[in-house]
Amino acid sequence: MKWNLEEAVWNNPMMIEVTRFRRRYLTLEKSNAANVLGLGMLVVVVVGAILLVLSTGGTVSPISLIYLQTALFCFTIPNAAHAAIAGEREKRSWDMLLVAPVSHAQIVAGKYLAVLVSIAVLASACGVCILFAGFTFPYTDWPKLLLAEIISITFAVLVASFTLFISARNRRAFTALGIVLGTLLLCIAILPAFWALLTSGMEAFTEIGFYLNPFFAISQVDRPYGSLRNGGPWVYGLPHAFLYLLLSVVLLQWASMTLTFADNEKRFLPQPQKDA
Amino acid sequence: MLEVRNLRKEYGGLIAVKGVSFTLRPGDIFGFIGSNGAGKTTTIRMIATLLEPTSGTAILDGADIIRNPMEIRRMIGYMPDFFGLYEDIKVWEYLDLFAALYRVPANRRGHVVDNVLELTDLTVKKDAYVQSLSRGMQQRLCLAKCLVHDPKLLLLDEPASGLDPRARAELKELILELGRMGKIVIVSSHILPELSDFCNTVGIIERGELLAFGPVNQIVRDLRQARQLVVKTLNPDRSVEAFLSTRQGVQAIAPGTDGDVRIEFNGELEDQAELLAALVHEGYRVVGFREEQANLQDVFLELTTGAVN
Repeated sequence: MKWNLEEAVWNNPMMIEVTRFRRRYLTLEKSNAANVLGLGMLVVVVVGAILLVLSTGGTVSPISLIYLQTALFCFTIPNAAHAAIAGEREKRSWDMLLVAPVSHAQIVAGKYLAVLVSIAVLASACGVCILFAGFTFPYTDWPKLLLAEIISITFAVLVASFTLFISARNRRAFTALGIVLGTLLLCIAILPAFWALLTSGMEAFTEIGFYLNPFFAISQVDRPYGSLRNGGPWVYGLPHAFLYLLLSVVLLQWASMTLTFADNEKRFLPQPQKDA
Repeated sequence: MLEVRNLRKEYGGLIAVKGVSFTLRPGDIFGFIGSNGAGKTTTIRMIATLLEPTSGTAILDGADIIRNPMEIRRMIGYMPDFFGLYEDIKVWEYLDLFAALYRVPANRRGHVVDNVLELTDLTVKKDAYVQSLSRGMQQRLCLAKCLVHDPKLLLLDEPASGLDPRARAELKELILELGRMGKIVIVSSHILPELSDFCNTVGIIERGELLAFGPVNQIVRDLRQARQLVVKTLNPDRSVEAFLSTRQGVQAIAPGTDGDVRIEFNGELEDQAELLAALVHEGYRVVGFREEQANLQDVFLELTTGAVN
């Protein structure tokens, strides 16, 4: 699968996906009740967080808001992206797209950039709260804050890629959503909890097992530099961003190679029998 | 020109399409007839490059569906039997998207969109959201989408399903117009009388095998060598049948409903005229004498057994 930047982005008709996404999730026009509710909740959360930061007089750490932002990404991005491809299969609009002279890479790029819009919107909304907290919190370390934000956003990019990948491999949007949320819960909460139990007393092992966990990485960034296990941004922060982005690229490439359709046919045929 | 050569599709032990071959020329409107599961949709999807054939191929104006699928895609318009449209965009945006996908230059897209909207009678809905369209209008929009790049071949899989009589009549007119524009149109349908109205070529498929192919009249002629005549006289009695049985060319006689007589007759129009003259000359008071034309449905029922794969 060839990825040509001009074809995939600038000259890609699938960029209409960004318009569709914006219309579906970011406007009240032609939006359904659930989306309006989601958009409303986002506004309430952001305004509430700003008010909380202002009313507590500088006691809210901006890093704690980055944790909150990362958790928000884990729920909102799968919800926004799970139907990107599986939903098209479900609605039977997929065949018409596949029969057009457009490459799989262009389809994936269009769908993916639309999801990135949701990350940009969420990150901007949360960014306002984080900035408020950063300016009011007396111990704000701006480089560390930036590093934590980079981890959070690159993790969001990975979640978006993973959701699109799962969506590309499923025919039911709801199944895709379940798989993504389940996997995130397993990888971020359940497995680390078991790992922590298994390796209790062996802190180095615990840390290795937790290395790619974004919440753990952010917590390590927040530690004072110079501790034994903390080598600064080259151990916690930049490698995470690099690995998350690398995994994203792999998943997107895999997704574009997974846009199969022939298997849909089998569903409508009766059980195989010998030709008479 | 479209040449379908020995197209075959197998799913494990199941042979969905068994070496289908036919040729169509520009302007041909081809009716693809078969029961559910006969292999129509599979054949159409293979020609549309959505399914890879197990063997065989199809060639459209020199481009092969196996070797040049992208080139084929630029030349075809495909309307699936079940389809979904993007509901959160406007009618013109939907067509503009597909025009862009089919590489219609940006400066021509507006004009092209207006043209296909006019052709499909959707101009008044240009700025409406797709989700607000009725089923018939969505069907027309899907057809409009197939036309934005001026394709040489249109593959319409059950295009009339779910449409009301008026929408069907409009669709028929539209397909006829497309045929007149020199496009090859392949239409699969279960509604046989409608197909015979506008298709100049039909193919009957059963269990993945093309049982008959050609113009409707030719298929009927091939199937029924003898003409079916229906004779009706005033005060009919058995003597009419006795008299007819003595005439040359009469192969079989059977009493019909409402006192008429049905004859299997082997002869030309001249011979038919002579038979009528003989009846009148013999003193029978003939009030009806006609040749019963077999229709597509008769042919379909006679050729197929209703078996599916």
